[in-house]
Amino acid sequence: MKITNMKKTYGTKVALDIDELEFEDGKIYAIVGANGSGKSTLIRAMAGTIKTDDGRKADFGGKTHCYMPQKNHAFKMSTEKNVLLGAKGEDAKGKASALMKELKIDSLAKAKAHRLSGGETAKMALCRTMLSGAQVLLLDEPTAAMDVESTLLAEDIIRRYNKDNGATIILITHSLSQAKRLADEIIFMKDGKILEKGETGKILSNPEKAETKEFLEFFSSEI
Amino acid sequence: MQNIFVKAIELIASHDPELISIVKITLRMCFSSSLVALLLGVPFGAFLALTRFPGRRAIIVLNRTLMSMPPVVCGLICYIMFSGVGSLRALELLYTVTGMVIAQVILITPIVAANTETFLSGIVPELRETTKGMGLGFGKTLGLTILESKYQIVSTYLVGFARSIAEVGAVSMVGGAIVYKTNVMTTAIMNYTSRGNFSKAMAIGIILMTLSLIVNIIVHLMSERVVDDR
Repeated sequence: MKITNMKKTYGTKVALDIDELEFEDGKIYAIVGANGSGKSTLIRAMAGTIKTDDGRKADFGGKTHCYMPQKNHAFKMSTEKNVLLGAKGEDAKGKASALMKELKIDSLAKAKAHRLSGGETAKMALCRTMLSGAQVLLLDEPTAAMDVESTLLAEDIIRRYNKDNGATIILITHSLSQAKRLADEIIFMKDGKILEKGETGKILSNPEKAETKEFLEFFSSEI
Repeated sequence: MQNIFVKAIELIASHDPELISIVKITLRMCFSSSLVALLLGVPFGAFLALTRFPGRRAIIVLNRTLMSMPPVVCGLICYIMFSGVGSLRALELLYTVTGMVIAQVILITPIVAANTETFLSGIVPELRETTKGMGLGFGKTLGLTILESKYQIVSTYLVGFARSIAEVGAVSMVGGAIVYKTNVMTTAIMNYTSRGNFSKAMAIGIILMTLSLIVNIIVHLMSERVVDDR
């Protein structure tokens, strides 16, 4: 799975400018970088929800993909129905119940989803994404609105999805500790470009680029 | 004034045939024009909200300008088109309820389209990002969008109905206020007032205000549902 010559500009601002980026099947990737570094633009361009400058799309190598945006729409129906939207595979209802129970939103199954809190909506959206059965998941800050306990539960679910389905997972996070816990590889972004990419342990302990080092030093207390 | 009001109530209670005819013609015209405006305005508004193309903003501005078109101007344009010198004279629409409905559709459709466009522009970006991310097709996305907008659609229809029932300029020019044919409540009030028949004008005014009140109560309740649903 790879991206080649993907560029996105808004007016004169270059939001994304990537020559080449490859992903290995079955790995978890964490995209890290400051605000405005192009993380969301990259993942949205990959998901096809925004058009790149020349209309170029990510090559998923025929694999199915599902994207969980930063702002998830809660449709005006029950939480359970929201979770089951676009669900694929057998016993979707049973799996939905199990996932909602795991994330402790099972008591909200019949509640109207558009009345859920931000954290509850994020949990509902994560359950929905996990039922997609996609071979590639693109997650834009999936746990940003969740509390610490829910974040750890969500990470377990993401990890399990990766193992059980052999799925490739690309997620954006502002938490280096989350990247450390979850990701096989980290991708550092700056000004729409890939600054550095490599195995998580190596990148966090011994980055090549000075800018990555500087970024890591700033967040060193968190790792 | 009290005498006029009592006489007006007596007229309503007496089931005056002319009064009944006026109410029937008014309701026929209003239901038709607001329904046609809804059927044209909602898809047009949705199209403006869901698509991006060169000239889209200009169309939105033009539509908003049409929202404030004076009814008499609309009536004048329709009158010219339907009259002996107009391009649509062969259709014989002048002084008919159909002609009045067409004039009202021209007035109401921009309002329906603008309401729809404004509402959908608020919810569509997030909704579409979610459905596209989930790989849902156009049909399912459209179905979900309609489901999200159901109260807004009903509310928009009633706003169109309220505009239609209160309109006088265009319908008087196109319809001519012919008794038992094209005379509607607003034109009848004008005619009876100019003839000094205040009790009959007041009777129609009471019916008009009652209908308007009912519609506005429903619009208000619907608006609350829309807000509550957010």
